[in-house]
Amino acid sequence: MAGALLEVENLKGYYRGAFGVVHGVDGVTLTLEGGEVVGLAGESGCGKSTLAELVSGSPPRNLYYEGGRIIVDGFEIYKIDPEILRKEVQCKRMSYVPQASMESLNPVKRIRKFLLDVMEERIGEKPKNEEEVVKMAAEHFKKLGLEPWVLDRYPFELSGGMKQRVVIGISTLWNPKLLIVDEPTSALDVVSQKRMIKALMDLKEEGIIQSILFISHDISTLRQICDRCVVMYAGKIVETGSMEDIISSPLHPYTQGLISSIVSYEPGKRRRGRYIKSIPGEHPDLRNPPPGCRFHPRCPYAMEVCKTEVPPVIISEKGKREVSCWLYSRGGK
Amino acid sequence: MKIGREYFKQAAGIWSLLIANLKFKIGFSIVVVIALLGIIGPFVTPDPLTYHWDESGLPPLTLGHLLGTTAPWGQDVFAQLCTGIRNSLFVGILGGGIGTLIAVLVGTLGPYKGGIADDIANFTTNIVMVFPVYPALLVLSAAVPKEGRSVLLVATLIALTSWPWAARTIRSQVLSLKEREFVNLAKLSGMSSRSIVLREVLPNMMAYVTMVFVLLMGGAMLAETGISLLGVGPIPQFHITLGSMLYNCMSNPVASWREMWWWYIPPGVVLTILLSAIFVMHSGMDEVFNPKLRRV
Amino acid sequence: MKYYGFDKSPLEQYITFWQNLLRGDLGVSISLFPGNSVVSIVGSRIPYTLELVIPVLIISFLLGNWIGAKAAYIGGKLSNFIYFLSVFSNRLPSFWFGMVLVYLLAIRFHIFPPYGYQTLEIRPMLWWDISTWNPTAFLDKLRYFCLPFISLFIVYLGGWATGMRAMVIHELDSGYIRYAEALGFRKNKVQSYAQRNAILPQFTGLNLYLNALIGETTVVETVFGWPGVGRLMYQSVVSQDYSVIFGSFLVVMIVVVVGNFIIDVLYGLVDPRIRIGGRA
Repeated sequence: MAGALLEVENLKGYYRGAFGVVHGVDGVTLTLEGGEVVGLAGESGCGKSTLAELVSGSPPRNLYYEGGRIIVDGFEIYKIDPEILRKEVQCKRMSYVPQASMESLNPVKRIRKFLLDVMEERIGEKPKNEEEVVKMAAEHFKKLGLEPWVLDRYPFELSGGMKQRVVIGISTLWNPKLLIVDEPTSALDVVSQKRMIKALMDLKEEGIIQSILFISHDISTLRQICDRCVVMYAGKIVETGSMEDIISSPLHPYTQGLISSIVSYEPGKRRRGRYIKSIPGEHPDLRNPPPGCRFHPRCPYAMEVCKTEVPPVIISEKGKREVSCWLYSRGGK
Repeated sequence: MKIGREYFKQAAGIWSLLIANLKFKIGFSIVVVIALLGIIGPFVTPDPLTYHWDESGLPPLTLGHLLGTTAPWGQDVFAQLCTGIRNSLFVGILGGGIGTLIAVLVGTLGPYKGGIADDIANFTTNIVMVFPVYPALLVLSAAVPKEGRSVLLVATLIALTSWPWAARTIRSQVLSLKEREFVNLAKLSGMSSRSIVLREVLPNMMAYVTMVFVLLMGGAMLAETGISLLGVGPIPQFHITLGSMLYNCMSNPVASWREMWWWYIPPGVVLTILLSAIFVMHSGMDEVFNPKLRRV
Repeated sequence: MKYYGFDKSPLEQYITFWQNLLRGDLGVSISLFPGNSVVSIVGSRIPYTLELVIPVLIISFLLGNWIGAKAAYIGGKLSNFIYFLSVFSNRLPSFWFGMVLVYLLAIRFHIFPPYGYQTLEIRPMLWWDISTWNPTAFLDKLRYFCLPFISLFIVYLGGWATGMRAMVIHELDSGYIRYAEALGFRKNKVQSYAQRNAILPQFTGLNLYLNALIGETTVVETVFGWPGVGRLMYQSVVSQDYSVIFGSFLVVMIVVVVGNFIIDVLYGLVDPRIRIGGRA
């Protein structure tokens, strides 16, 4: 799949610590083309943030890259020189907005000072004309709905939503082709959520960013912005497809469980008589993932083969749908 | 008695956790070794207080004197060291114990009685905290006539000047525990404030209080050495502590103290090792009780 | 008797005491220096104590925190070694360590003088009198200064290094550090971010250390014969000179309180969250 903006091939990433070895991401393969918005869904602890941290090139200290390939716009992360990673890829071609981005700003620096620092790190020396840089940033921030006075403040003087938008603003200053946002809406109220999604869409419309990898546990949020959706469970991808397909006809039992646990107000659709279904059981301990299909302890359709063999990835004829489940291995969709 | 059983269960559980931790093992074993030296030593060494006039003082490894003798009284330094360890440890445990007691009293009194009692407790803590320890000890010790300066008195004085920061940390622990569910449950079921403190809060704080005690003990030993060196500690002629050895050395009337290194270096070495071991013990305890600190 | 006011009743003495105190008169020394006012005695000793306390506090703070931060980044065996070294040096009784230094560096190898403040032949250098400033006097002062300085300095250096190392390790796991790394910051820059934030809680330690330092300086002064307020207090305790005891203790308290105040103000300047207030 040449030309894809992001290619991940059989990526493995483990957390190592006093608690043992946790298989955060265990053999994940996905691609993202330029111009699409892909959502990464799944419950807490399934590996979505781990995947994003590995792709960003700067994982936390106890997360180790253990194998596989990540290629961003032609650059293979973890194989290229760290200096090139720093200078050419991070922030320039790909930008990562971490979870809880309110904590991502240096508490003792004003926003503009931080901005100038980022500038300095990018161009390798102190910017010649600081005023111009700040003005340019202010213009950019306006698109996200932030007034220029925000730049003069310290992070603790801003609200959570503002801080989040500041972080997105800084991440997109260099027009990265790929923007990875991790749970940008989880800590916000509904109105701010809508504003945030709209801001992201605007950035894409204006060509400032080309593609977004949007990570969220909330499918109803993903539905508003994503073209495609990737569902993860216990460190592996279980299903991929277009957003509408996933919602209207989920294939994998886990996805089905996810979709049916959504409570939403749908004008025109009658929901009386239906109650909220939840997926029984608990997330597996990733220090010792269950053999075979990792979902089998909680799956209502589990068969004998599911308990011992890892299910293959079945790709539909059109190439747009993938699912990793034994239910579809014979006959297929 | 029911309360006692609660504490005992907690203590046994805590001990098995601690003994598994490497840092605690190392620190504790060093402390035990030195303590043994202090406990058994005085029985197997010549009496440290008998003397015979000897102008110069023999250097170490002379016959019969492992660490040499003092001048001008010719007392065996090693014997003095052993007795000194014992007395210094004694002061440490006593001072640390009394200090911990005061800190626990003040620290739990405030949050539980609330209102004016809390204000008074805070006020006292802040005032005593500002007192610089050694000068205060100097003045207090000096106020007592020479004959009255027993080990118990000195230990109490040390405790009186070192309890504030411990009280403050205990207070914050108590405050945070106070808001937890099991305490609220106890309150709803009608237990009196005093019972709540004794039965629910304190057993959970055993770990913390032990850590505080360990630190205070180390501090007390250091403080005692300091004031003994100045001559205002326990009476040097009757109680030999590591600090009084330094004092005797510095104030001997015949030779320059600086020459007799075998007299003043060993006590300090032992004290430093002891204090380091206590610190390592303490960080081992911290690791066990604070899972966040565990690293690969 | 009349001179010291002992002929009056205790109540009158008590009242006179407070009256005098408010007027800044601490009375007259009883024994050692008959006739000298306590204020002048104590006052003349303050600069010597400050000469020890201030450099030790400032230099150990700066150097110790720097070492601790570097140890935190380096990681691995070297970091652990520095950690153990700083823990050990922090546990040293400074006065005893001073005695060891005296033996090694003054008796065995005659590098530094073992005792005292200045050589008698050289005209002493006084800070407030510029006419006495000259290189010989300064170097002479330095020679005497080294050993007491080092014995205090090493202990506090270890203390800062231990604390800072722990704080920086903790900071390096924070959100803003990871974001800065993801943005492609150089290692140096990331480290300076961590340091800048980790040093803030250290300022509270500065208060505690000041209190402890004043006390330890008292004992160190006695070991080295350094003519400071601490040694004065010790001498007056030995000779039961009550007015001097009280006077010097009062001065020590004032130094501590003023020092704490200055540090609190400094902390307010350094941490923008205190300076500006902001939302909770």
